[in-house]
Amino acid sequence: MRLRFALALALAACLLAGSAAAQGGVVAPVVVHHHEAVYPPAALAARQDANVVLVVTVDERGHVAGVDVAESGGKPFDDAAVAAMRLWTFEPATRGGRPVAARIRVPFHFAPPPPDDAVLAPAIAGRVAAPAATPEPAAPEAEVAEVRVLGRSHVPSRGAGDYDVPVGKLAGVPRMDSASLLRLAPGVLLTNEGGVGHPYQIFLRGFDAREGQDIEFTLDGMPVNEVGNPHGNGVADTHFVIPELVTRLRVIEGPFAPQQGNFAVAGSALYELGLDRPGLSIQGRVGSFGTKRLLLLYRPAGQGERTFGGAELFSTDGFGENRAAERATAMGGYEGTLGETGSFRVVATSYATHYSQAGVLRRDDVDAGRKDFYGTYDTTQGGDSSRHTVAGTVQGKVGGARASQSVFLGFRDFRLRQNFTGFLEDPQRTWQSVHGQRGDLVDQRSEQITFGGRGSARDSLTIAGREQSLELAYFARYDRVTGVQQRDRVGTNVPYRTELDLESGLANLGVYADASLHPLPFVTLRGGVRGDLFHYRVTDRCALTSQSSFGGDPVDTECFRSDRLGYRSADQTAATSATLLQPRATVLLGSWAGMSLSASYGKGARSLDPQYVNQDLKTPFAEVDAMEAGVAYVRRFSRVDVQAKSVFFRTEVDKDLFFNQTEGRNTLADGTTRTGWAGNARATGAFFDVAANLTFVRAVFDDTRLVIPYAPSTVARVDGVLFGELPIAIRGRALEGSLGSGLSYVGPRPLPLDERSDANVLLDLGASVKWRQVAVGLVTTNLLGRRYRLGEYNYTSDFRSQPYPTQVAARHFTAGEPRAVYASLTLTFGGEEKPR
Amino acid sequence: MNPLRRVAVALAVVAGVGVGAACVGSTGSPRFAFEARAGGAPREGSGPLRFTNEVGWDVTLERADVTLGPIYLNVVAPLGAQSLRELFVKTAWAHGESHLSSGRVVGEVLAQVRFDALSPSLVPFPVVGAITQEQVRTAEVWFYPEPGVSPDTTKIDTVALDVAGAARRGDRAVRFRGKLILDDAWQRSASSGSRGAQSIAEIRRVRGIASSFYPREGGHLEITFDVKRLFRGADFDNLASNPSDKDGTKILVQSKTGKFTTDQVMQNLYQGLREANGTYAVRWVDP
Repeated sequence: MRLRFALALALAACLLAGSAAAQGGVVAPVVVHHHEAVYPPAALAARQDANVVLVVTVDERGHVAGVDVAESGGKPFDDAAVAAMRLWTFEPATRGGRPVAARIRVPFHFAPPPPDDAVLAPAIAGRVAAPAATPEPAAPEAEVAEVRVLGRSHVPSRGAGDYDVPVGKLAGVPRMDSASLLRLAPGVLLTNEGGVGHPYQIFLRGFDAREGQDIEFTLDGMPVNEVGNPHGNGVADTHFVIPELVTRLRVIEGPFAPQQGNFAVAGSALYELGLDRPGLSIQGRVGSFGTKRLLLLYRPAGQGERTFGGAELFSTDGFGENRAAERATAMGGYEGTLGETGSFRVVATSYATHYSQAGVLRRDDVDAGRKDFYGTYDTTQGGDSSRHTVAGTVQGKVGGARASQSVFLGFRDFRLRQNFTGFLEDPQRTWQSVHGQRGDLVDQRSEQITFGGRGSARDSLTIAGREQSLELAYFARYDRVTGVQQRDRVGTNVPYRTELDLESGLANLGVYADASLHPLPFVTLRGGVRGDLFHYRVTDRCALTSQSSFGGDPVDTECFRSDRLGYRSADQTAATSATLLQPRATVLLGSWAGMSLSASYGKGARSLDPQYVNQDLKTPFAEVDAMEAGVAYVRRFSRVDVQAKSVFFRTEVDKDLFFNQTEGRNTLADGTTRTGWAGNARATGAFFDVAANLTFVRAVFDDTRLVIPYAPSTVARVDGVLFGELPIAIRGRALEGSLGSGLSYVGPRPLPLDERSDANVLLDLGASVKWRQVAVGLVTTNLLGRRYRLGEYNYTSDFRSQPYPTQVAARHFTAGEPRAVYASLTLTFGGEEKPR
Repeated sequence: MNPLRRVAVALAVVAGVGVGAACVGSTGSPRFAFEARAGGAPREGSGPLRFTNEVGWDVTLERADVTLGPIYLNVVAPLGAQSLRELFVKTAWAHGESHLSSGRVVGEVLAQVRFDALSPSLVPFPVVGAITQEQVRTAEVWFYPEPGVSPDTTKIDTVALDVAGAARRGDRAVRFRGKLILDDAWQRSASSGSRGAQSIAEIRRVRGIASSFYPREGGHLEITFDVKRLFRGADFDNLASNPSDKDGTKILVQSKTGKFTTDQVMQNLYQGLREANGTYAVRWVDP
């Protein structure tokens, strides 16, 4: 079991080398790539702290040429520190602007697994010594300065299905957005019927999580899922996240941690923001389909990676008809200290996008040449949205306990126009003027204000020589949402019917207790219970959409004001609430020679879509029971870190959600069960980083045992990066190169009515070369040039492309992006120590 | 065994088990193609069809050409089907056709076919249909314009029924001929938005034809058309004021005069053509 605790203190010491002295015109080395040390498993039982100070020789190329232990913390800790140190790389020290070898002192502090959970308490504070540089051969020894730094504890594992993925060098794998990072976790498939600005449809462990409705997304503590969105309750649009600012991704594939809240049905995804190197960089990227992207990143020298600013401007003409898009994003974070042990953090984001979307195509139309593979039926499809959030966290030790308090505030607006069915959903009603089919374009929009907070306190005590800890916490969130769904006349922006018009106040209060117990040296029990209360008050401003036999409303009324008893108001309010207790527990055994076993159980919940709320009807949850058992392996072989996991899982959902093309949104379905296996492995060395994962799953309806459509049964992914210096030097400075690739395989997906989609194999390739402050990159996506169907569906539509109206389910698809090439140029300023 | 190899073996084992666990299953009924045929109702012999209708006219039909299509097969039960429960608890139906749930169409033949309704010989549709292997309870026969013409078009020239013949009752004899076209002549002039208002597309649909079967691959669909049903209430005396050919043959007319056409025979043909119970028989023939 890999326990990576407290080493960020040492990292931060080097990153904050601003106070490290430079003498005689000598500038100390600057950390480029750090590698966290592993808390020695052999020392786990004793749960002791240890300090190790290393003297490290950094050669003129920035490599670690030698490591000596200056102050020992005991052999296991010394070995762990030395092993990690050998993987670090630096910008070499300079004298008069020329690189020279140098010796620096690097202190490591080892702490046992902290009794906290970084979901709520991501940072701790402490004092460490900054590295001191001693350039060789005859440079004066630099003085050791005391600086205040912030590090982060790492989250305790919730079993084999808990994937805590530092992006690291895998950032070199081509990814066009932050959602693509999810592929680092096993079993994730991303599709998109809506184009560049449309939230991704996510499949995870056999769940069709649509646009995130079954996955709880969190960005540095700020909830991302949108409750009450008419497109789907819980939509999670991560396009507002600049992928270069994601330093870590944690995916828990199941509801196994008490910290996981609403929508954690298939699991949760937590993004951590940061910028791994200081300085100011500007990147321009141009490429296929008129795509242009401008990226600005900034991390002040002397600040940790969680103090940063970033902005992105993006536009594209799209790879086919009606696929143009543009967006802008700004993100910033600041982290500072409070007193001796506290810290605070503020993160703000702002994002806006406008895009067109091609939507679905019938396969028979494309096969017959009536439609182009990259064409569209309806050029009025598209969307726009914006999102503006701010979140703040303070934390520190209060009365011996570690406490944290966060607040968040967000504004979101959303509009989406999609046509899945063409001309099917507009039958003649008796109260309507005579009309033909006016078109099925679904026009959805919502506006949302979200605010809330969360707080926690964790304390510990020692029993039988082992630390036991308990965390008590709360979560509170309130959303004020308006959601409207209308149908528009074909080819116009004119609505002719209102199908949904809700104004909702949705509150979620959760409390939980989370214990971490160590009854035996090789046994860890983690978990507790979470209780949630969901309160809904929903005003339906169009409560009656069909005329009763006694109605006297005017012709073509949409929201009726009379029923069998006479006049009534068009609106109606319903309120309800309910509570749910969700036990969650994980047992971890080991480790033995790097091998550990785990078993987890958890109950999770998804709140009810406001459109289904009835007065006092206590059905506010979809509940999930999940369990898994697995094995994890972590080992260092010479200079290579190896991690591997294998896990079997089973998940039962009592009321699942499925997308209904005719209604244009998710609708409730019956219970479902998923069983399967997931495995992943990652090997990290001095010049490579390779990760692979594979998932098999069988997902069926409980009543009919029929296979759940759309969710893939087999998903595989390989990410790999080679990096290092090239045997080419310019003006005495070697070029640094990186070559990354991502290979995805998605097996045939079951479609309704016993159809199967195509299997897809995709290969992306990216390369970059850096010289001093300049980097150039080239990325090719879909290198094999496959003309593939990204999403495939089987349902009824009539786009008037057939000789007569068609009403039988037919194959539809959304086209995947053809081969595309993008070139980038990056200039970096600062980030290195200036001679004093 | 070294640790790395041990891990590799373990992963291989679980992967193998996983492959087995993930074997794909069914998501429902498969879809297959089928041939569809249409023709006149079974009868003895051939040639002109002679019958006596319910108002005492001896009718001799010499021509009865029908053009119909497309065809849809639905899982929704017909209106006439009553369950035991319905004997005690009556179901209330709203007015108009919108009460007829659209159900779910599981089969279709997207083509038109022209056949002689006087002949029991079945004519195949020019294209095969597609159907999923599910219980079919009703069929829908649509009379649509030519391919490429919007179903909402009010003016079309697609002839749904072309008839000619003679009728005799006592000493009264009438020769007649006529063409039934489902255009706006049949649209009621009801106020827009009032109950009973029908779109032109609805007029061209005959829904709820009872036809319970479970399609099997390799089988085919047969649709028979009983043209006698269209003349059940036809009173040819009504044709007295109709225009005639030079040989005295009365021409059936469907043009509006006032709210509805005054041609009672043509009204009967129209209603009979749109009659879900009796005019059509739809069955599946297993291989």
